Amino acid sequence: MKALVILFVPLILAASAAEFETKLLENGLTVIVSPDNTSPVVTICIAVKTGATCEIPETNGLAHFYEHMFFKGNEALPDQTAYNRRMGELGIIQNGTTSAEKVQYFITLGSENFQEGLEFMYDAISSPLFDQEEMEREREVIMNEYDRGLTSPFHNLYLAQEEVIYTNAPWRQSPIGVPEVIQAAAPHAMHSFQEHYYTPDNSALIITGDVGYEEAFRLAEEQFRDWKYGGSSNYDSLPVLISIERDTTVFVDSPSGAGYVSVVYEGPSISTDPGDSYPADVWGSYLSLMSREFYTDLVTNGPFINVYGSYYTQRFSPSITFAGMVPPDRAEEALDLLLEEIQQLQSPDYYDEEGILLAKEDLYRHRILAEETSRDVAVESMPFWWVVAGSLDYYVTYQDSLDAVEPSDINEFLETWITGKPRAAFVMMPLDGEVSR
Amino acid sequence: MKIICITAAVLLGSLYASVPDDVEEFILSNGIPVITRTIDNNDIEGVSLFIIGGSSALTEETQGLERFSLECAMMGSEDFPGLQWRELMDRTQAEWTSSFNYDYSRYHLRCISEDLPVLTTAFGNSLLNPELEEQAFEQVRTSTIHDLQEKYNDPDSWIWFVANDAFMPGHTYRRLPEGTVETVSGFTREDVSNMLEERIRSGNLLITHAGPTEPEALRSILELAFGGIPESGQVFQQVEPFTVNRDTVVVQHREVSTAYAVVKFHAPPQGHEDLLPFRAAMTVVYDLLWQVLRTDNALTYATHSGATRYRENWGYMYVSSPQPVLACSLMAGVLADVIENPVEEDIVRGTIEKSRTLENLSAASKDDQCWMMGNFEICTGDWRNAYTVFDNVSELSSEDLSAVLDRWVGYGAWGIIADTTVVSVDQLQPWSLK
Repeated sequence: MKALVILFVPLILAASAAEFETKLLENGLTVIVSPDNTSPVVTICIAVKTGATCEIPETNGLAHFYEHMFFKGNEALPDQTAYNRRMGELGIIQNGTTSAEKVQYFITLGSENFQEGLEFMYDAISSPLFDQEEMEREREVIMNEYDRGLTSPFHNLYLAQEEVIYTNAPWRQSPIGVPEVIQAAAPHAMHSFQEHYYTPDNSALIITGDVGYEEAFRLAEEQFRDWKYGGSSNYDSLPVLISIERDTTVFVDSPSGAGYVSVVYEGPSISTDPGDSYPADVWGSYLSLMSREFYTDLVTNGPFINVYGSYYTQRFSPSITFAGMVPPDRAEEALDLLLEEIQQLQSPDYYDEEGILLAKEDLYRHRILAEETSRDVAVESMPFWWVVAGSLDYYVTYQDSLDAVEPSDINEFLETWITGKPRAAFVMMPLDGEVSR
Repeated sequence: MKIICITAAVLLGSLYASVPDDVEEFILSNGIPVITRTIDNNDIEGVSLFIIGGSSALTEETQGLERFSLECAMMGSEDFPGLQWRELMDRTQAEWTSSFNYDYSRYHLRCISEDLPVLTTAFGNSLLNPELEEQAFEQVRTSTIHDLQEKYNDPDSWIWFVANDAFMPGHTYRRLPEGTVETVSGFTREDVSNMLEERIRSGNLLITHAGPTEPEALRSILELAFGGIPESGQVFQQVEPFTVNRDTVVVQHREVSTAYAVVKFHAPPQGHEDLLPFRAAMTVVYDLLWQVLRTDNALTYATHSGATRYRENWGYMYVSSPQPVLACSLMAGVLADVIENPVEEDIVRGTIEKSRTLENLSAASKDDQCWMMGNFEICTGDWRNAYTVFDNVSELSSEDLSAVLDRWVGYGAWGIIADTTVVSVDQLQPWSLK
């Protein structure tokens, strides 16, 4: 029985990306189609290159507010009641998300209603009404969303991270925004966002599921060709946000009693240092191995309940984070151990060749598992890579790029981004009235 | 009686019309039943092991012991001791998810096809011959207690248990399958060994699978992995019905900037012909809550409703709002109004259409398929019922839905978490649902 697990045989899986084709419409809209007839549904997603990172203090929260207004009235469906009713008619389930670097809207419906689904999305993206009365009501809904965030045990930690890691413009990392802006949001601000970012040349239309290439491209073009080219998005020229200038340790009060420790470094931006992102991913995958030192030292034999060390692929706020939950009474000890471990992992001896192969294998497997359904492809995978990497070229060549990563690339990555570089450490624990420092 | 007649007619008319023909059943040599659906769209496999019993297998003192025991077992076994177990997990990137509810525990494995044999073998070995190494044992305890505290600290999670205090005091389902900090703190390795010895018996188990592995190959894999589990099992008594004799509310004070509220009320038990229409009616109520509380009155970011799928069930409505008095009052009013005045037919049709999309979406998820087949097999006695739900409700009228709610909705048991220095407890009276 043991022979089944002891032998490590590298298995290079045929883990290609989901099959897809793209087409660029004349108005600049990228259309991505990925057929999958496993079940009779189609998912339509519109990804937009915007988010909190496009905001200034006076507009902090408006990208998210806009996302809420997407689901309100438009020229075809004049209010949310009509909008909801149409969703019922077509059997649509829908949602939207706003993050720091990306906004996306997606619907899933029966493939027999595909054409109507495209029309539904076109009306919502191209002709929102931003009715004043609807906005008045929606701001209360958003304030309730904001209040729910305040009850998170991690709320204080998020605030501390925004202030310390994104010193120059913390609002660019805070999609929910601030109450003053939410309370003051007006239709003209929505129209301004629309004019700058909600244009075909700043968006991608992603269609996956039970539909063929020819039909999907033809109907997408028929439906979306009248969406007017914009050309005014500044997204691609925004500056990198993350900035850690010196070693900092912040103790954050934890009213709930939970304990958490994290250490953050600046990471390579995918727009300026894409080559560094591949060894960064292999390295992060190596640290996730439960059989290697990082996990063994910190969890198996250490105070962490769980732990990870990884690189987060982003354009403006790429980070390298080591973090995990800890019993609150061991939080300070955990930080010391984590910092010690970070020192050790900068040595090439920390990594073995078999582990690096394994780390690559894991990334391949992870990709297969992450794209199980057509909805996963439309909602989780493609929008992220199209927006963050700027095109799907990165997505397509990702596996080959991982294959090419050598141990020396990982050493170089560590020397460039961790060795001797300033870091920000956060310790969340009950402070019992002590002032954070 | 109209609803019963309609349901019966629909059942006869569409019996198994939507049941997929790629599902097969077989039984392992020790009697463990297996239900498998062959889906070959990619190389991902899903396997769920259900351990039947849930709260019925627990006492006040052993709340959480089954969960704790299984989590300990999954740290390593005789053939796959700690480090080897972790190496295997590293090599396969297997994803394990677990859930522990009032009727059963479920461990679900998600992996690449080529890893299925070794992972199921390791799984079976860990259940039969767990290592239970001291350090790993304490690691599980720390992690479990952390999870429980995290759940308690999050009002959005804990509100459901506050409502339980109002809805089911003294009921079997009050024994928490996930345990309490107090019970988990006291478990010993002997407790764990005894629990596994008692519960890992073929008569307590059900396996479901979805993925590309064909039934014959799967049979061999599972036989090797789980065929050594001892025969026999436990007979679980019927769960007693809930007894709520008046509208009631339990309020928990916390310094929160928005209040959380849940109301629970009677619903048909599994096997009752009213359950499907009741569930459909509560889905319609969900859409109406969204319309009235969020769209029309901007009282909330999150509101929803539904009905559970256990052996004994309840309907529920949920809201978070800075104005809990008004929000709860409106929520109760929405339900009462649907009972009194059937909604427009196109709202019912719309709700059913959206549910159909969700059902079709789940057809591509091995996890969903494993859960559906197992849950319906355990709670209704036949996995096929998972696929006939929408056939059976699609002809229901708005009047039917009002009638089924009228028959079952009675007193409401409310749970509320609120800052009572902002909202007076006196105002948080239970709101009548009818």
